[in-house]
Amino acid sequence: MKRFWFSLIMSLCTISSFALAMVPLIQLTNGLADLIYSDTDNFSIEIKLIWFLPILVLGIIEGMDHLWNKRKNKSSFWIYPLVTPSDDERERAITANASHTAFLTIWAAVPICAGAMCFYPLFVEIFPIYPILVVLMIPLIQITVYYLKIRRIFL
Amino acid sequence: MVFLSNRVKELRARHDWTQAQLGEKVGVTRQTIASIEKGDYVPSLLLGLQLCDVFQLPMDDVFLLEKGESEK
Repeated sequence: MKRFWFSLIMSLCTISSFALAMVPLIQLTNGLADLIYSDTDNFSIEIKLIWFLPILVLGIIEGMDHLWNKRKNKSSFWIYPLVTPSDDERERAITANASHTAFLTIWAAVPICAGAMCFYPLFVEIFPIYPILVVLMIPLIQITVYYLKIRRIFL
Repeated sequence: MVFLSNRVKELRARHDWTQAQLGEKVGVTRQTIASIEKGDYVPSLLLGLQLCDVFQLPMDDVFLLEKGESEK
């Protein structure tokens, strides 16, 4: 169960910190847009690297955990920290069912997120990261549904 | 409705095996044996046959098909 909670929390934190890491990139593209559409000769773009700190810290923690539990973790490095239990037929059946349900949630999550994107003009000035958060809502919903389903493997 | 009940718990106790020991014999986790015993999980034909082989009993003596009212 410890592994389950660690994986779930780390997955959610990875998505959240990825969203935070997008903030300076939005600032960068905003600066570039200002440069392109204004006639000024002088320009400056300010990027705060502090936004990269959460994903950097998480990357170090996850990297260390992956190396530490290398023998136990049979899953690929690229899907880490997600878990896909498949030690026996019951685990494979539950994982398959969870994946199926997580896939079906796209059917509901994508139209909702697309609808939420319609409100972007309201937030464009005050909350420029809004579209990234909306897009990241899709894996966030999927991961939550997937982990709720595979929970019974760890009980 | 048709239900599959089993005597895995009883037979395991008769052999004085733990769930983990039985799981090891048939190549599944302890949780899977617990789920089969509780009736939460219906094992595959292969796993069912493996369990019968471990208990050295025919399928009929380990797994029982129970029919609901509508099927009778």
